[in-house]
Amino acid sequence: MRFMRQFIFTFIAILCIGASPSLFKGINIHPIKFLIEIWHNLNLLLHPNQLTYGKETVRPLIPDVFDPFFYSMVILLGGVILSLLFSIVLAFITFSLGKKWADGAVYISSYIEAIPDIFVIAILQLGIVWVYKMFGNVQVSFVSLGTDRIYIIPIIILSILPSFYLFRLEIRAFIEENEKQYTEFALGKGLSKFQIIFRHIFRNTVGSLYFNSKHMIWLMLSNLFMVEYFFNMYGIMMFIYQYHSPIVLTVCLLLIFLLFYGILLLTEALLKPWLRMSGDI
Amino acid sequence: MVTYNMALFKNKHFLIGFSFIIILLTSSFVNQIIFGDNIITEKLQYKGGELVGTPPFPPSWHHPFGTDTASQDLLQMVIYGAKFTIITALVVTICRMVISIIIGVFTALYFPRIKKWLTEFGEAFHFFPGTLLTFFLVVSVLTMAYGGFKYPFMQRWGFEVFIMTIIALPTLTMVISEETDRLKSQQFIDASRLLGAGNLHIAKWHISPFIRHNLLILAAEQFMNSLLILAHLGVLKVFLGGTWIDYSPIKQPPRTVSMEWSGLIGSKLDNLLIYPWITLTPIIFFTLTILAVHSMIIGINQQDNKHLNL
Repeated sequence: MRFMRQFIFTFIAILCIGASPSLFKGINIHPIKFLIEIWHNLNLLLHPNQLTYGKETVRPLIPDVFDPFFYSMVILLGGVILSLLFSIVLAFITFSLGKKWADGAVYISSYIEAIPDIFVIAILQLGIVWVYKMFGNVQVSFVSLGTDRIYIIPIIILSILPSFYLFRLEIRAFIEENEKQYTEFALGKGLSKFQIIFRHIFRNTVGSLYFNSKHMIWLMLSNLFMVEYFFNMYGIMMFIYQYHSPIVLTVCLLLIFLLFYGILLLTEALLKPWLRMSGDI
Repeated sequence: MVTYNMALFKNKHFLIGFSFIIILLTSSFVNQIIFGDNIITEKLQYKGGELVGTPPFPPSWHHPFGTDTASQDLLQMVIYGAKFTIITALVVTICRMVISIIIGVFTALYFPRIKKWLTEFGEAFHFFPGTLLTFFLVVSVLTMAYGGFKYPFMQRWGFEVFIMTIIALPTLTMVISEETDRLKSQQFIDASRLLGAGNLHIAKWHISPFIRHNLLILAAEQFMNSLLILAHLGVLKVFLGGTWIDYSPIKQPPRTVSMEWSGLIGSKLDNLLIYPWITLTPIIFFTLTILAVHSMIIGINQQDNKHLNL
């Protein structure tokens, strides 16, 4: 019931966002045209096979949109996994170095996290070109040309800023858990520090990661757009950017939402025992 | 409360961030007074009658951030444009905060049921980058059509501020009403209610002192977010206050009507791999400003912790 209602409200919001370009004509507001557009979009969505995109050459939307969509999602999920791995490794290392190191690392990473994505992208693009000039040849291509696709560089770039965000969350949760009594008890029983981190503390921080995942998705989606733009990748964001009719906007938003909503529900179901343990549910 | 706010200026982090922005703004206005709209340009460099350099000049003592292809000093251009960018981001932040505080606090206090709907409605905005939405809404107004702009500068600017304000409202209102809700369930508020306090009294005396700090941090975050959206829009060639487009056969790159930062990024983006300093200078200043605000947030947080520990 809760999921159903949330789904309906989010669906309405997506319809509104999708139709929003027709809310303004020049700088004047046209609410009636906006409502008509929403109604129109709803009717169009009932016949998904007849959806089209493009201005000069009209093409069917439904098979065509999946190609850039899945490309982007591979990049995005790759970025999520890489940043999770990277941040967890980093967090383990700094945490095992002691509290002083952990505090310093949190402080520095909070600054890194605030750096705008275009700065990171521009610097890395320059760096790659510099490496290319130095060594003459590199095995990874850094700009999409024509139909061939790049994966490695965008995934790495996309994962940098979220890694530091996750890192900060993890360290904070680690420190919090470390001060709890059960950790002291485990230490007293003679368990080693690593055993405690792996078996107990990490398990209990999963909850805090899960509850902040929405913010991370938002962060990564807006980074994804800039990465696709700078590296000339033909992903979902560039697809929306190029063919921004209300129906394209609505369908793409729905796809992104459905995928992430599905993933979130799935993780919630899988992690239920862990989440309940951390006391947040 | 006043003394408490002044104590913020004794915090190192807050002071550094704050003074960076103030220095940038002051130098921007001083520059306006001294040089007006002129930018130092240096056509060709000679040494002993021999030509030693043609624009663009890389960073040097004479031009700390180098010059662009038209040989204009980049540092001065960035300082000239700072006032437009920072003031716009400030105005957007204030508009966002005022509107969402009014909606957020009052829905949480008076209409808890609507608050729940709002939260679920705002959820959708988590799955879509704000930049893209802003882009769609402002592009037709801000890009110059064939034969000139449709609207005067102030209307274009106002429209951009308006759009940048409304796209953040759903999420921001959600956060603020969530915060109010959390405070509302505290015990001392129940006690106050039992003594006969109304919603307005509670909002003024019990919610506002506790929420004030979080609001300050939220405002700083909104400031960072508006700067970021401006930078992104610049990359997408939608500049603050309008994009000037050359329809003549020469096809000059799109230009900003003032020298604000998003325009500096956008019109010089193609230079990134050839003359990196031209593109990087405005990006670096964006980054520094955002980091300065972040430093202010750290300062506020530290002060907050000290305050709570007392």
